[in-house]
Amino acid sequence: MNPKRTYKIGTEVKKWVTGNIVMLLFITICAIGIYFAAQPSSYIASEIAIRLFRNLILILSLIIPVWAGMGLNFSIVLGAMAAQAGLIVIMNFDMKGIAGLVIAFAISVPLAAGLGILTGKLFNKTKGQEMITGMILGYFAKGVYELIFMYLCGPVIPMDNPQIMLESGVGINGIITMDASLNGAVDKIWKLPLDKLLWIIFGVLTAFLVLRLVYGGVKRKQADKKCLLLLGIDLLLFIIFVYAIKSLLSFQILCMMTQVPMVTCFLVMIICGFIVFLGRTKLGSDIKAVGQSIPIAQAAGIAVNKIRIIAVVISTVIAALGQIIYLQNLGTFTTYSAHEQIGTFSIAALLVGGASIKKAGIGHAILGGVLFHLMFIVAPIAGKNIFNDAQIGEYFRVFASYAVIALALVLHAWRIHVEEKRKTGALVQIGKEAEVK
Amino acid sequence: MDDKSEPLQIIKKAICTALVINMRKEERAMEGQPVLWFQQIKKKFGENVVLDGVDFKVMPGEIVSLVGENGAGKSTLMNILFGMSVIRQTGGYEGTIYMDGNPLNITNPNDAIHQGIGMVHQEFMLIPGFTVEQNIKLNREPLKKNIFSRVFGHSFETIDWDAENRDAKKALKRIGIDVNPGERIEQLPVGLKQFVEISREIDKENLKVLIFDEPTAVLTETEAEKLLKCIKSFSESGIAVIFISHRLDEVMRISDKVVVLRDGILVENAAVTSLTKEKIAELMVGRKLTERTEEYPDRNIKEEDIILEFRNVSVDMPGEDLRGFSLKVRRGEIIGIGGLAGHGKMAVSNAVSGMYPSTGEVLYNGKPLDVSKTGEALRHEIAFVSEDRKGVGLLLDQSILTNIIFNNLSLKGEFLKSYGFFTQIDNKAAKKTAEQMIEDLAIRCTSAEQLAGSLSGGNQQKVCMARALIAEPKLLFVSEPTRGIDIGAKRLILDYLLKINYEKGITVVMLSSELNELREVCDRIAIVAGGRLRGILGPKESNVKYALMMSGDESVRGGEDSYEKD
Repeated sequence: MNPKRTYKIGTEVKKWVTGNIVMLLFITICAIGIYFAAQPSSYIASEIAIRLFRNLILILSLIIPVWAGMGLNFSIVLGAMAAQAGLIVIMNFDMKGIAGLVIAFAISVPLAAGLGILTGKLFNKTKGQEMITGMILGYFAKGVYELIFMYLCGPVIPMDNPQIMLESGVGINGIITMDASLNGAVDKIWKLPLDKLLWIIFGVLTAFLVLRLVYGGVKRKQADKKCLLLLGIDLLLFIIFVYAIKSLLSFQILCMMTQVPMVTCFLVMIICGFIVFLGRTKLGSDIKAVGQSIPIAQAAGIAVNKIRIIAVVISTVIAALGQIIYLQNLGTFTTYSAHEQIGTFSIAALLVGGASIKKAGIGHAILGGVLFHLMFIVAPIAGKNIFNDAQIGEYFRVFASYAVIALALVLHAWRIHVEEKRKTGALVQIGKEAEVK
Repeated sequence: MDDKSEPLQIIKKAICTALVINMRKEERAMEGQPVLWFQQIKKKFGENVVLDGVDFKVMPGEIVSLVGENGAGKSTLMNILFGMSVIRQTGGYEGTIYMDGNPLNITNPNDAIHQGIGMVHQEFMLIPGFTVEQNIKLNREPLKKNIFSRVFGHSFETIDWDAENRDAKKALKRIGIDVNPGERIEQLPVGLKQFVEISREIDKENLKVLIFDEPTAVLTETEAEKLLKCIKSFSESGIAVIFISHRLDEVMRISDKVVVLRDGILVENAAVTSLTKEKIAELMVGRKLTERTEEYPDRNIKEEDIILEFRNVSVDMPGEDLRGFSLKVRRGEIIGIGGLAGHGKMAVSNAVSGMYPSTGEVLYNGKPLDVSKTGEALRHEIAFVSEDRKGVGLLLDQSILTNIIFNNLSLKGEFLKSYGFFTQIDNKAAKKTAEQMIEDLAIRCTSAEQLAGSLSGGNQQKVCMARALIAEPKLLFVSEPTRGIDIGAKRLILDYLLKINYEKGITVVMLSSELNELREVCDRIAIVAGGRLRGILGPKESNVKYALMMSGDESVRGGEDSYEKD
């Protein structure tokens, strides 16, 4: 190897590390946590499966505004509120089961879309400050939300279902508990243990890759190298999986314990599919163009303000769906604070997955979801084992999510600074050339 | 109806029609239908008339060069054509633009694009994170229908990557550029970006008029050559070209017609064959010099007594990059830094103030100055009057008094009474100084307590000067001192500069886009063009020489220490 090449690899590695420092830091924290918590892997895996699908849609809802250059959309809290409003309505009318949840979503969609339009309009007036605007808007909306459900429900809005109302007849209960038909309604429809799911995944994936290889080969007259590589990895993982399931007891237990809620999983896949699809459409291209440069997009004739509003609306509506999935899984929610930390935690999770203010994708959301929940699961026990106090772990996880956001913001500013410095470096070069001339 | 007369009438009619058709044909051959006709365009920004009855035509396949100094109205005219929101927000314009004989009604850039007007911008309008092909087809992506798009409308049609690639390749090939369409813009060298932008315009099927806004400013000579060839080939294929450039050589070479604007008035509209480079330069500048109101006796300026020296300074200032700038400022002189906007002259004062990152050396009294620290220059008896009065120069919602003493307060700790750890502003002393300055500079105000934001532009400028002067500087940088100021106040400020220079011996470096005021006040004028020092001229040099040097023309050189290296 010549030295020039190794140097290049060195800088590449350095670039990757600095680009993913939040994620690496979090992996380290999680590794330490797992070591000290010493919980069985089956427990951790099953917990992650539940929590991941519970939260993933909320995390995914953040991606589109990042494309649109609006940073991390703190205003998904509004979507969450719309979802809660939908749930309160159906519970007031005693609607049951999955049909009830569908109606709740149907109610929350126009609400979320309307709020999204207003948010988008506000963001268009505060270009460049979307994040802080979104955050403050969340607090403002909280006030309106409280006014409606704490004081107007009952006297002004006729509601009298004693299950959700306070005894005085004014305002909604602080805690709403869903009945058995609503609690986990989506999750309960179909659950599969992890091993069965993995069989299906490997089966579908292999079939897909083989088909693509065969048909793609016919079409392009040469084997698709990327496809071949993927097939190889797929088969290798499959062999490892078969080996593990046959001979490793702990893995067998893990798979049995981990029940994957398939319908929720499908919903997540639909949202992922939608985001991927959107990325390939005209609208997606416009959103990305606006995110990169508003004046250039404008000069190209793209209706910048409209596109930005659409991005916020999509985000808010997905967030509403996410919140419904989240709450039905929990089965109970605190009426006046369930939405509060949705924004912060979802954003922290996305950032942990390696996303930034300028760049976010589905991969970041999934990886971030896994890592973030991993920390949430192990932190209390790890805290107890290290400091003899579970509270410290509890504190730590809340602290960590805010720290992650702060760190990501600092890193973003720092990256801009480095970029500027690099440009000055180029300028020195130009200056020297000018001197030679 | 009379039977007999009928055939006669038919014949008559036929003859008449034939004649009319023939006449029209002739007319068309002689006059032709202009693809674009700017008819009596007038535009005001507030009270300021920037375009006054500009009227010219552009024929299909014709290359029309639009030349003029900064502020002559070129960009405003193009903004009007493109329906930029600036125009509407400032009250629209008067006059009509005709395209192919029909009045145009353009309210946003999209309308212009649909009408077949394309523009290659000076600062690249390309999205850095997108690929070449994505940029070429931006907002005109070839689309494929799908199930969702049938339901949700055409926004949900997917982009046809293959077609996009094909179109991009075709457009790139047409202008003879070898770029991989999949390459991202940020990875392309500067010169190629311009060509990507041209490809984007060329790819528009109904393109009738293509505008180039200083396209060669960032190109190397060979690239510029290629570009000019490109432009020629467009005009041959029937596309009309409006070419905006300061490089008069290029204007002479490629245009069919030259339109010269000066202060919003069309001063020349003639075939290029009837003009010379010198004639155009003369027309662009045009004005006669006004004389100083007061002559000061000769000062004793020694050529070897250098107060400030720039050694190969480069400044990274967005839109005003300066490269390899070397200049010696003599003690006691007034030196002007002239040049067009965006060519780097504004960066000169910023190289010393440290507002933007820079490289190279700045020597003050022979000793290096650490310009990486803002405020360092101020501690060395160097003062600045910024061109951006409202942004950087003044605290608008503070009183005149605060504005005047602010720098001294924070940098030198003057006007402060000290009580151990605490300090308090010495209002009495501050007020006395401020009132003295108000009197000296004839700042029109009710009292020293009046808010700076409520003053007129000229008086604000005086407050800025006052602030710089109470620091008792030895060296004063003044940027665009008369921008946005009425004529009376202009005179006063220029005279005051002369006065302090003579009476207090303050060396003045004056940066201005207005050549005439530089020539009125300065002993020497350094001209910066294209980010480089082009030469130093005396105030009495000819208009032509100035105009050519400002347009970066290599044939004109002047001044003792231009291109000097040490």
